[in-house]
Amino acid sequence: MFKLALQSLINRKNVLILIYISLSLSVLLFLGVQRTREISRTSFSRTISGTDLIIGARTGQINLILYSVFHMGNAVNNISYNSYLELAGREEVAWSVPLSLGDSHKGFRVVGTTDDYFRFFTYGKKHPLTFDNGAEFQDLFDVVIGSAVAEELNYKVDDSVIINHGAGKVSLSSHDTLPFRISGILEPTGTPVDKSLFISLEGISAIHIGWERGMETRKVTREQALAVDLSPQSITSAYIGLKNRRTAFSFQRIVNNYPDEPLMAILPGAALYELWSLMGIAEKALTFISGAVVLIGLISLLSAQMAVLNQRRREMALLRSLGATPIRLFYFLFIESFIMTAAGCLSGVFLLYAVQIAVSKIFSSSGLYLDLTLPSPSEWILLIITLAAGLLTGLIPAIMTYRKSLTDGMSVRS
Amino acid sequence: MIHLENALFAWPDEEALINIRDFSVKEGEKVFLKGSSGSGKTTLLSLVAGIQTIQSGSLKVRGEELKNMKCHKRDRFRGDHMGYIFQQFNLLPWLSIEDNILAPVLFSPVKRKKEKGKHHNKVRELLDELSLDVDLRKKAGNLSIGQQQRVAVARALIGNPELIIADEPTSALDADRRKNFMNLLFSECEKRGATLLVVSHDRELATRFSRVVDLESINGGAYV
Ligand SMILES: Nc1ncnc2c1ncn2[C@@H]1O[C@H](COP(=O)(O)OP(=O)(O)O)[C@@H](O)[C@H]1O
Ligand SMILES: [Mg+2]
Repeated sequence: MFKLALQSLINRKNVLILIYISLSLSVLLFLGVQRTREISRTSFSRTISGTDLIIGARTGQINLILYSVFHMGNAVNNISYNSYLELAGREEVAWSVPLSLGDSHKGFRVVGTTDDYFRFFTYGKKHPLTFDNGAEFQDLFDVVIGSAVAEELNYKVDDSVIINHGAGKVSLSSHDTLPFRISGILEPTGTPVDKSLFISLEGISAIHIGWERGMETRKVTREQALAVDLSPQSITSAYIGLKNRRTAFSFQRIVNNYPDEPLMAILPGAALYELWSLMGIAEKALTFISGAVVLIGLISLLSAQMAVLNQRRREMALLRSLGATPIRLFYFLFIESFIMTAAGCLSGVFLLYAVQIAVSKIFSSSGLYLDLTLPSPSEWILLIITLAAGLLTGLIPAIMTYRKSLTDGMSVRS
Repeated sequence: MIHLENALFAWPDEEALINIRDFSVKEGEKVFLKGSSGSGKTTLLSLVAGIQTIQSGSLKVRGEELKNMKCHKRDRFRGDHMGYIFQQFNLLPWLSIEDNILAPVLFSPVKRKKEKGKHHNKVRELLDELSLDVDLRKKAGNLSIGQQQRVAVARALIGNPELIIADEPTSALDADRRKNFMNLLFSECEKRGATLLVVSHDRELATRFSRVVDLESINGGAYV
């Protein structure tokens, strides 16, 4: 019966190949949307972990997480270094990392921080940062770069780089008298760290000498810079790790009510969740649309089967004369639809992996994590739903044929 | 081989089309059943083949009462003991000629056993006898109607069923081919000792038949 069904399908290959393609593509789309969603969700939630609070100038929680973690957008205000020191010095604080943002190098963000960053910052499942090559910055003019920066700009340890003031990609005003030496390159993390450069807070101060009025008034040399007091005056935000996570809310209250300047503290988990749910609407719409596309594919299969139903009543009468029971004819049509849907699902999955391999080849340096994993449980569920829907659509012509073959007898009157 | 007694059959919402008091066909007999179009010939064959069942009375084939059999048993019975030739569209156009001829063997274990695993040789023999010189692997849809009908005979004969039923097998053929085809069908059944039941409205074809029956004369159904 299987062989007969296959032969009969091959006979109508012209129409069915089109349907097969549309089924494969719709399954690809369906799974692709699902997979992108899962990948972006995990890469999203793994950007920061182990940090209990992030503090910054008062703004929206989304804005604060965007610039302090994703290095996107800009801080509205800085916080004074003294306020930071006072808050970071409180007894419930286990560790803290100050961040000073706002400069860039060839489109990559430069982060001013302390070497505590490499000690305490963790991502994913509390992974600490590790060096692929070299070590953390020692000197004022040392810089540590993320893996994507190294790969894209082809940098090695001990290369010297120029740090721009401001965040633009092309900057007319570069601090070109103050080259930095690459002291270390970090291992890939799949987080925004890969696309960042890290220098000391003093280094940030140094590249701003001569820029006190917002524009370059004088050039400084390395020796001149070293002679100036470079201790930081302000930072943009800070990561805080607490000794006891249960004190997070009370510490947050203290920061939010800080008397000297308007500050805020956020819980990264909650902020990430809010950011994700903002994108959730688009994500749901995409899932819905891709589901509808699968449905359209199945309906085209159904209509193709229905269109030939009348013509096939003859075939069915013939098969019955050979001793086929109506149930067998039912199976016959059912198997046809099953073969089609199963083939569609299979090649949809196959295409998904092909696309994923292609994409990860293209974007290998972008820090996007595209693990080639087996279909996840939710993907299996989607596949099974698709297959079940395909079988249901196959049932309709099968049942109709079954009933017709019972009443037709040997005479098919069309 | 076939025995009808007070057999009554009506299509849904219609008067009884078949009402046969007494009609039988003996084993090995070749019977030509004549009836005009719409008189219920095809319906009667559906009943004999067990696709439809009579509503009352008795219809026995090989001594077995068809209406007492379960549905799938009847289908099995038909597959095992009968060969059926339609007016036209006898073949599955998307199967090769060989696969078409071998289809009954696929459906019926009894026919398969009778061919003792030599069914591929048998196909060749049959096509020789029917003087069909074609490539067996060709799709059946490519044949002319005359060739298709002859392939249909080969398919009906494979597995040596006891009863061959043909429903106006020549109506799609050219006039000068009809006689020829009937002769062929007749001799093939003769050679195997199979019982042959042919229905047609064309009396001209009945020349070699031992028995010619008018459907109207045995059927008291609604058709006038
Ligand atoms: N599948 C069917 N369903 C309902 N009525 C049918 C069916 N087949 C035949 N009939 C009825 O039986 C009558 C005789 O048809 P048929 O047996 O095909 O005659 P014949 O083969 O002698 O031309 C038709 O006029 C029709 O009313
Ligand atoms: Mg008829």
